[in-house]
Amino acid sequence: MLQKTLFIPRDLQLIEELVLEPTLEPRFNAISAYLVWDDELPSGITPDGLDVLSSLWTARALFHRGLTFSDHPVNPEYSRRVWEQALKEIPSWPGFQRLQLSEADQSYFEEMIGKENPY
Amino acid sequence: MSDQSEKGKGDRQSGAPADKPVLNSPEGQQVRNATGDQVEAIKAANPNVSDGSVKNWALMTKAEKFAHVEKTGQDRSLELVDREPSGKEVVVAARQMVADVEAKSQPATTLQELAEIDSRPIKDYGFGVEQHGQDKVIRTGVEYQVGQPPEVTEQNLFERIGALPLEQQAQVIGAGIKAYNAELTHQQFRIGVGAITGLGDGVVGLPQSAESLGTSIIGVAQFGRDVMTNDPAAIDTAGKAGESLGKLMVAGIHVFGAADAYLGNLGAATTVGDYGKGLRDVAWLGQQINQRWEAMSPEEKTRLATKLTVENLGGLAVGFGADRLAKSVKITEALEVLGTEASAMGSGVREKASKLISRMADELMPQPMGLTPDGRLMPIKNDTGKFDDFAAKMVGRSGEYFPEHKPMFLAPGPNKVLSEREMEAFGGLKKLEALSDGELASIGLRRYDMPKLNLQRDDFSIKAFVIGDTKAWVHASLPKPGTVVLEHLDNGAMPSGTGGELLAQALKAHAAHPTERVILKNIVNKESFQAIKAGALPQDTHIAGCVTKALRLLGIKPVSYRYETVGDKVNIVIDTVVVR
Repeated sequence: MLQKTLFIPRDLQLIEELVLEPTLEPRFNAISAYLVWDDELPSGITPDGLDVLSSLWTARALFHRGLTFSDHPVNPEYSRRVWEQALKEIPSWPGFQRLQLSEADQSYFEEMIGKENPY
Repeated sequence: MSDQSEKGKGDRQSGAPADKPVLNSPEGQQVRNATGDQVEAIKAANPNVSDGSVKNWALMTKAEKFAHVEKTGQDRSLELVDREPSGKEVVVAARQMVADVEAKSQPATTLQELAEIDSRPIKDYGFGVEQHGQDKVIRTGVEYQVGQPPEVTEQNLFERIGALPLEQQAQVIGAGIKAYNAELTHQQFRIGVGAITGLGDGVVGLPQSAESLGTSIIGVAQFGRDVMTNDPAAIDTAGKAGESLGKLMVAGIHVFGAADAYLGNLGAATTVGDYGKGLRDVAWLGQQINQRWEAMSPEEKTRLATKLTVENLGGLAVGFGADRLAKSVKITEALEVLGTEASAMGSGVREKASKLISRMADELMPQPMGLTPDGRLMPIKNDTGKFDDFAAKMVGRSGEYFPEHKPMFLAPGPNKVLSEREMEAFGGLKKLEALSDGELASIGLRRYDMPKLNLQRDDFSIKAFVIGDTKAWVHASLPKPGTVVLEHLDNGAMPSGTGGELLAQALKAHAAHPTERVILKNIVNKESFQAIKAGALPQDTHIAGCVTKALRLLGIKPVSYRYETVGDKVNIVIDTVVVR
């Protein structure tokens, strides 16, 4: 069950203060198999706020692999609702500007998700 | 008749209304402007000076009553002495007051312990004379009031004191310190508190409430004294000080403000008690707290205030304003204001605010000093050596970190370090460690050292980045002491098999030891999902294996593994215990 708002005002403010930095390179999260850029993760965000961003990164990784919400391995409907609500609450989040990957980032992403044991 | 009439006028020889006309005279103004020392000198020069016993109690101010109780020591023991023909004095009758016995034979903590064990309301009769016909009956001592609810509770008493002007709050604090330093009996303190709050001295429940008040006051003052004198006892009294501050402040008692006011303005102009020594300890502690606060950067202040406010007040944090705390010049004043605001709220809010004040004080109070084994004077925290208290103090650390040397060996071919099993094939870790670089090369191996880490932290999480590798990182949340939520992990360009080492070093560097639980969050990677679909146990996934290795390196033992589904995430939860 989703709450009325995804983010508390404090987290909302932190996210709204983020600025897209197009020159940044992504990092990979081997646990959740998604890419994340430093300008998408605000310092000081609460664990609850971070949990929502984690949902967004996971959903975005589906798009990076050419998949859709229905391919979400755990809860497609939940994932879709979080994404849609986040688009309303934090439309300027830099992560929404990276729904498509550059060639280099796409190559990096595919290399990373292809590793049998990345640890 | 005329004699009786004169006597009936008592001390007021002029018969004029008290204060105003007399004080309007030049002499009156001179008296009014007299310093405390001058007043005392005049009193001492009066050959007919009264000991105070005949002064009309009803005409005294609360502050005067309080001081009177302390000065006259009306609870002292009485002795009837007869002189034998030989000249030797013999005590033929004696009355020893309960408080006198208490003060001589029992430390304050024992009384408090007793009060905690025995919650029956107590009535303190003080020392009173009742006239019954031609007989006078002296009633004294304390008495249980079984079945009778207390007329005053601890909270009620604390709030009454919080509502007093600063001068009178300082008197109570000063007297409390004196009482618990055995310079004043506990009964005198109780009577004084009863007088200054207007409760009187025979109120059911007052003894226990005053006992709690005194214990809280001394909790603050004693720590200040212990730190100031570098007494090792400070290590033990530190925790009590923070707790006591929280308790007093959420009743609206301005512990530091009252002490400052007394020492700065009131002490010199009042003859009401001499509390300078004890209040100086309290004021010094407040100054130290403020100095440590002022030394912090605005960012550090915001981080600390936000963290503690959110942790302790939760949803109330916005109302009470972490920003206001963070922007305060004197944190002691800001905490006193917060306490006063909380005093008007319900018990739940007061309790949370008390914890916040206590935690903030713990963070900012000066640390007791002690000698290290090699003779250096270093701050010693009460919790030194406790394995799991890291998150109660500060989330993580910042700056560069040199990982501890952990022997790892690279084999030719794939970028991978040898596993323990593979090292056994070369004779084991100890044998490999003893080989020179040349000897290692001769068997196709080379050493691998973990690079330096760049540590970062924020209010809720820790990060570690491998210097020289833009892709390798660890990111974890610390929701509560002993629990680590692993959010992000990647080796980057580091050899395969180093993930556990990287995680262990990152957690160790941040002193973030998962002594109770590790949650591997959102394990939606391909390998884990295939494992889940195939019915694999959580401990058999690659990520769980990596974390298990890190735990082992930290001296922590996993005791159970389980999957959990929350919203759109599957997590692995590992419960842990510390290997002793």
